Amino acid sequence: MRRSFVVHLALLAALVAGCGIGSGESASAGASDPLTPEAAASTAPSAPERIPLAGDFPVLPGAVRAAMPNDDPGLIGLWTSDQPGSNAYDFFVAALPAAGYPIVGRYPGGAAAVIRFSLPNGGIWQMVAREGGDGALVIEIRLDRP
Amino acid sequence: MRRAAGSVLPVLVLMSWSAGSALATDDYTLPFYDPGVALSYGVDRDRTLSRQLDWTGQTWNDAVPHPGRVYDQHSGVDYPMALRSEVAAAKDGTVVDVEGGYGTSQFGNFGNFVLLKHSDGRQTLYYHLASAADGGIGVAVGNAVVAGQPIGRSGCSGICHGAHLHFEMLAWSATAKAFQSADPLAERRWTTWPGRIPFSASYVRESNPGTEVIKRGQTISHWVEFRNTGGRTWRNTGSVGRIALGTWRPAAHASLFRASDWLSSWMATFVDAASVPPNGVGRFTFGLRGTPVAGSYRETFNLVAQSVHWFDHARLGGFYVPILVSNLTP
Repeated sequence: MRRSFVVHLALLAALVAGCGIGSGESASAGASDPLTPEAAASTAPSAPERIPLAGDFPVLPGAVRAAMPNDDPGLIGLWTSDQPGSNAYDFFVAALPAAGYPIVGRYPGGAAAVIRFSLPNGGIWQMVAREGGDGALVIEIRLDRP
Repeated sequence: MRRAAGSVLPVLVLMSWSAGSALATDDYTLPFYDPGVALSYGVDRDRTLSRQLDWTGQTWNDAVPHPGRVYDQHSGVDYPMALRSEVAAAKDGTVVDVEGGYGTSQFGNFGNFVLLKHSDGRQTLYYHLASAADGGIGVAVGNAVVAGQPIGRSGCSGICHGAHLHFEMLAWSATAKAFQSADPLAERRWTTWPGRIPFSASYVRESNPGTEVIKRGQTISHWVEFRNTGGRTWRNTGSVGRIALGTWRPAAHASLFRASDWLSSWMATFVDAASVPPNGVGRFTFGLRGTPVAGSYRETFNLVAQSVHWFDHARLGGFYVPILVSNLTP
């Protein structure tokens, strides 16, 4: 009805195929989940150099790391989850400040939500939660953008 | 100052729009009462997949969400709201459909909503509401509602990523022979721009900002002026929605200072003017009668849209009148 959102087809194809970095890995609540440039480079030679996530960066419990497309250099982290979208939004609203990432903007929505948060160095990133075409929840950490 | 003028909190739709075209008189107002709510996402006016046209006129050739602007294929306007926040009718209308059977935060293809039709032929949809059992639905099919009237409470039912209200305006399309999503922001359908909550006011001045000294049994006249900082025109006609000054703390208590010109034990007066548009100043004139017992008192007042909604008293500067009743008799 009122919750239309387009699937990012290329990303979806990668997710369905289960290929790429870290597919099938399951993250646990608050677990270290570093995404280092070295790790990315070792499994995807053509991938752009990624900004690493801190080891203590909050990860939605049960979320599964997904392959990141090479044509999206602003993407820092990518997961899928079978949880409802509101769970992810609520989790990050609580977990980001607790982990030292103050929230600077909340944008809940129907098929997508964005949380803008600041880094210790003053930079701004985004947590994007959105509806995947197969019903899965897609969670992205990415550089800030309008 | 004992009654600081209530600050006018900005309604953060995050866009300064040049004051060009005239705004419709008493058209639509924001469908809630929290003045601090900021726009999450507006309507995608370009229904092409992976191309978005937001309410400011900017096109985005992608499918990613743009905070404060739009996400792809979005048909309404999203406002972040804490669970169970008050949702209000954006315009006078009639309830044509409701759904309240889903859980307040139940995720899925269907959620709770209220659908209103209005005299201009448009409809408005209030979606993702809390369940009926949770107080999410405050009206029934066939009910007449007035602008600003609470009709339900917010939730996160349906396809929902974080509690919010999905407000959707629907206009009849003769071509499609169906109601289709319209964009209240791009069309500037709000009575005020960039939109205001229905009823709000700030303190301006009064006849005596100090203590009123009244002899026992004596009646004096007092007036106070408030600025209309809401989106609706204040009216001194009709019954429902008529703007009045009533006692507060507790609401609608019988006043010790009721004079003969009061409308009831708690309602001192209606707004003096026939109407006060947004940004206008309305005066409220009423009598205060000295109590039989001398002493120092205060009477607290608030504005009310009759049978619709009390104003936010804090935004009126916490208005009250200090009263000293002297032992002298008139």
